[in-house]
Amino acid sequence: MLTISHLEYAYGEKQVLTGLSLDIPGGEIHGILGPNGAGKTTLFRLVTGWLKPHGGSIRWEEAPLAKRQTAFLETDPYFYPYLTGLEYLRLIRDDPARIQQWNQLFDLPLDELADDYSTGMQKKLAFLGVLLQERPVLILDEPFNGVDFAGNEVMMAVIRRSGVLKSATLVSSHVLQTLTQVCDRISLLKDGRIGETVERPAFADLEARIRSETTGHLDELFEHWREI
Amino acid sequence: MLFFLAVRLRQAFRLLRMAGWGILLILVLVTVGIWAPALSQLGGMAPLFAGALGWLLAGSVHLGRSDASFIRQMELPASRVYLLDTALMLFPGSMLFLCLGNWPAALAFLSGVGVPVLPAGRFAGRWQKKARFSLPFIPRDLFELRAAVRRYPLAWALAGLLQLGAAYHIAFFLGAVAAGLLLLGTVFEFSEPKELLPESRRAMLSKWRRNAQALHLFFLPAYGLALLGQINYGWLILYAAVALETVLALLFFYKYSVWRPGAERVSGGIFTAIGLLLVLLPGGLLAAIPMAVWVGWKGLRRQQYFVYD
Repeated sequence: MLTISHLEYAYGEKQVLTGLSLDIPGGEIHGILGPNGAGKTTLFRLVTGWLKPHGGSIRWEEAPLAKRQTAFLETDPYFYPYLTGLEYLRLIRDDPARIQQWNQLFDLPLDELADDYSTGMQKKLAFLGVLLQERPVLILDEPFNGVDFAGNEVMMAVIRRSGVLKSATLVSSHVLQTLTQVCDRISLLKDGRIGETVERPAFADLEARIRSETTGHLDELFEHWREI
Repeated sequence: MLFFLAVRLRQAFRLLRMAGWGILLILVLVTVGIWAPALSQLGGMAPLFAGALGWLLAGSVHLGRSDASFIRQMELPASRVYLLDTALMLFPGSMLFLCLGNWPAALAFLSGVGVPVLPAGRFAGRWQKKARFSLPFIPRDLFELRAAVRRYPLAWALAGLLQLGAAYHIAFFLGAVAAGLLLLGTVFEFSEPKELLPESRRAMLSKWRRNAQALHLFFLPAYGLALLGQINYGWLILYAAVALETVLALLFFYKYSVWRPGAERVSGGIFTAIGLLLVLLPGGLLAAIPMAVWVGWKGLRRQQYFVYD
């Protein structure tokens, strides 16, 4: 169980997280939803240990979560220049057989330089790197950005199955539908804390509610324009 | 660990192959005036200086690293990666000292591997922090200059202060311009948002000139004071102004001439680097100016590609 308790973080005077608490059992895929600047990436960086919390704690199975227990897929993953896909993955885990096995998912040209990959291919490569680490906590920040539709389907299928690995998986996405397809639960980040957590059976209601909240005023607006 | 070392060597080999051995040979020949005297000095360098050089080099590279996010995912512990990388970086220099028969300096230079071990080594990549403060005078679309001032405010302040001494000694003027030349090198990165790319060749030329105007405006006190107090060095002052123009043109148009990533970026970068070095050599400006014109022409020709991308 990943236990996040009363997490606090501020950039200077701007308080981003204000006592955020969240429990994610091993094997669960948990979506984090929130507007731009809500603090999703800050939360992820705190969980991975890149940032030190100003308050609260993050624990895995009752012990403080170690950096080496998390694998993080960033929005813009880092790639060394002049490195092939295979070398990139072997630096993460020097197990060519395992790498070839995982690469069956995307069939990436691993003998080519990662610099020459498209954005989507680089994202897939970084995703394979995250899977290869086989760590108990997976953090996926916007994993579907820039990936083609087939790759997206494969990624979603893999994430859905990541529960089998007994990893606690945190996923964020700007597209609600991708989260409702892969997650067991979705938490809404609001005012620096978890505003609400929704279970899978209530996802349809959540989609309808968010659609209504975000686009409900458009009918009125278009009507107004028509009158003009 | 052996695989990590092999990967680093392969990276270096690929970089050299992409740069082109021929162009590197030209670079070595063109810069012989710079490295030959420097090399002769290295043979007799005191170990203390060699050690300081090693530590300075290792420290600046280590603190400027931006790969911490990836290193945390690697199989090797981060501390070992930092140590290996620093050792690999210092090894060729140390071998050079050894070949010149100065083994105490070789050892002292290699002692820079201690940088990542120090507590300060934990701060790898901290120089990458973003500066956040507003700038009132530089227009927003000259964002490269804005970024340079925000990143290195103290260095720009120093360049500004040095100008004030230009009336008393020409060295103040040259020091200020030298600082300006160095700072210019930090400016033109491939960070331009697509929305801010020049939408026509005319817009590109206009942006170049506005950058030049901003730069000369910054150095206006130095020009004025130097001309008032050091009129004997009139030609040198003119030379410095032309050097600034040439360096700006090389850096500005290089970015656009190799806009798309690829091997051309490396060869183009080396061509530009030769031009920048020539500016520093006596009389080299005569060769650097046509090179700047060539890079400028390539940049203008390339403009159509990023408009229709």
